[in-house]
Amino acid sequence: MIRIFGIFLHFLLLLLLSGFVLPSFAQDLPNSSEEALVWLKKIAIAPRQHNYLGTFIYYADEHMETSSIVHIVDDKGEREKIEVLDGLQRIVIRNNDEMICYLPESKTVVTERRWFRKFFPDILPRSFGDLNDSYFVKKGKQERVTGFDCQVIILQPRDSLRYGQKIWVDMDTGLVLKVAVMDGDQIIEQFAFAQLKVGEGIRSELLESKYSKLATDWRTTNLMTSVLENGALEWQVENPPAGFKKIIEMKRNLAGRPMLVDHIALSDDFATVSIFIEPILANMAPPLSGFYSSRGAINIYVRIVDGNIITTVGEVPLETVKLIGDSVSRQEIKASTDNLKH
Amino acid sequence: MKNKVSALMDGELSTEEVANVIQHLNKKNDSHEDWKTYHLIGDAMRQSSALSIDISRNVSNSLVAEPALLAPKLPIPQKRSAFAFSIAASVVVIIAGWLGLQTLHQPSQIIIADNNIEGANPIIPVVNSRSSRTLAHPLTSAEINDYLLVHGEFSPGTAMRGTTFYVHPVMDPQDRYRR
Repeated sequence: MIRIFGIFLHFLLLLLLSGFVLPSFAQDLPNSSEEALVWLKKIAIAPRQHNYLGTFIYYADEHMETSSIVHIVDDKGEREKIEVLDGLQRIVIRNNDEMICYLPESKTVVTERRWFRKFFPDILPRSFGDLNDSYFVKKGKQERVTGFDCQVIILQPRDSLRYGQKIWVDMDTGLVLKVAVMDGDQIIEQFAFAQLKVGEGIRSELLESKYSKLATDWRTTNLMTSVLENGALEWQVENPPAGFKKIIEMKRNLAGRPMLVDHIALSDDFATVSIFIEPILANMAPPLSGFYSSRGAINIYVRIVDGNIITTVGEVPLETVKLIGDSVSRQEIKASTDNLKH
Repeated sequence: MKNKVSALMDGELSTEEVANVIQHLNKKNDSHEDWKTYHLIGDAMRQSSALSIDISRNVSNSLVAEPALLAPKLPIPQKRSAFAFSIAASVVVIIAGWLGLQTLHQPSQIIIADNNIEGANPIIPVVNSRSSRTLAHPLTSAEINDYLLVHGEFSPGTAMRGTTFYVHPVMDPQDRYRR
């Protein structure tokens, strides 16, 4: 019996040591290379400086999807059209922060105002000043993608709470031509241009969609949000995992919901996680708690707390959606909500 | 049955089949071995640092080998009594601790760390304790679509990942990484 206690104490000691030692291994990566961070700044401004036209491929879980993109920056600001070429038709027209998505099969139009981040290849969030806390950013090799000479930039996560990123950047323009989301050495999903034209001569007529006229009588969902001041929501995130900070909290409408849903978004300056909280309505069949996965890097975690469904969604490992989902708890309401604004 | 065991690990069985295979696993020793072998193969394919090593047999053997004390019970000093857990409890802590060590920040920690997740098995519908009027059901693609669409605001790829997002329950978090 004493021997078993001895073994147990050894394990206990080992556990205590591991608590301090192992995470510190994860922190042993040096500070990000200044040169690589300069490349990130170049990536962030490139879509605001260049016109481009091309075809890109999304690949994940042995599924491939091709899309065309037209992107124009002129005196009207930044506009683009993305059309998914495989499977069900989807056309997204973006005019600066306004987005209209046409879904011809279901005769549906979804409108939304996007301020935080746009579409591939515009992959960086507005602010990424604390990126070094969560990722070791370094320069990789120079490789060719779609006929362009690219600099590879690697975002190596400092722990296993987030995925790594490998980014191929056009050396001339700073445009991202390829991105691979990495779980260790394994590629989880990829975006890559198969064909690309950059520069002048891209006509603005290409931004138009035939559906802007055809869709006048389609079912329209205007996604609206009411952004709240920090801490105003009844539900709050307490002690999120390392590196993740709340970037916004809001109430928003969702198609088919009779009430507004709470939405909190967290970011580590690259990966983002959304938390949605909504009450279980009378006669509503609640979803089962647990983990779900979708295509690519998306993971989902559902909890039921005090008659509310807490759904956590993000391009992060399962463990991270769980840690973030579990860190949500009900607070006393600190402030009243603003009026809805589009 | 080997195929069924493999399908069970991959979450590809229906609710009825899951119950049958688990029942079979409980009865048949060779199916048990299949289960362990497939997990070991899965770990090896993922190059996991924490291979599925079956320590249960070694722990059992150690307990059997432990000599039974027939001598009169000695008074235990007060200091040591703080550690006087039952053997079973100690073993559980050791196993959990060992796995924790091996899988720090690894997905398998999720299940081990939290046995209190409501509806730990997301495949089988359970009656929601707060609402006896309706049955809980696995999250459907339609239900998650709205969330993923608005999450796209924060994610440069989501809007392009498809109008219909296919979701499926994850029985074993390591399953998520078995690609």
